Amino acid sequence: MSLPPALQELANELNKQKQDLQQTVGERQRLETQLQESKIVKLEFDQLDDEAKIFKMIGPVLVPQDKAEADSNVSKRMDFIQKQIASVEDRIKTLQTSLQEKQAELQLKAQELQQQMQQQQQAASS
Amino acid sequence: MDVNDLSVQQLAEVRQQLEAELEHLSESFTQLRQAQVKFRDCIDSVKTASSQGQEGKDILVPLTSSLYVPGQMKNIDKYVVDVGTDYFVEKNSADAIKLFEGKCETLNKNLVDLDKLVNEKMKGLQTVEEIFKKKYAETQKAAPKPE
Repeated sequence: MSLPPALQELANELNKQKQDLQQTVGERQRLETQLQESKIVKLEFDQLDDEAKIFKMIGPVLVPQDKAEADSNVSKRMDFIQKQIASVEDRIKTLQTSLQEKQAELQLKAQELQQQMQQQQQAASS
Repeated sequence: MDVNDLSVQQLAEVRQQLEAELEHLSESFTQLRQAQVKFRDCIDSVKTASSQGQEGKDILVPLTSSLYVPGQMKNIDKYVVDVGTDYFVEKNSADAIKLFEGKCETLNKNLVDLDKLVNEKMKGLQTVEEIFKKKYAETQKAAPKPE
């Protein structure tokens, strides 16, 4: 049985949003990994002497870096990632609520359709 | 939520979900193991390179995986260690080994935790499977087979 176009469209939208949500959750996980890695680096930097030699890999070469500069770069990166996490989490929340709304709407429409069909059947048999 | 209250179909869904989770977890387990092996290799390398009599030894330095240039061991107590996010730090052999050992230790803890989680999920899966079989048998009995 094929769905009426209005219902089909709603179902398609729902599926698209589900995918969207999954992708966003994946993004959230990726950011978390980055944050954890940065935290480990920061911890390592905190334990270092001030004259410790730090390098940053840029392409295939290691470039010497100032400790203070590297330290502040990592801190900035962590701030940045945290902001990104906050915005991604907002997105997840909006997606989740809109998904729930869509699901409820779809259910309601499906019920209406079922009732209509039953009425039609009754009308036909009587 | 009690698993005993679920229908056969719901049980099948729960089982599928648990199986997917288990697969994901054992994948993570393998990855952690691999990382640990890598760090252990690093410890061994530092130990070998910094051991006595290595100074002045001839070595071949890889420039790429297929190109090597001859070199000599010098400064055998200086190492540049990857600390993450593309940052590297110069350390002496003792500190380098300490860093890698710390990483191995953390991984070990994670592995133990993960192992516990895997075992729990396995038990859960077993219970679900048992109930699934029982319920399935009941529905088979309840619905008389068409001859």
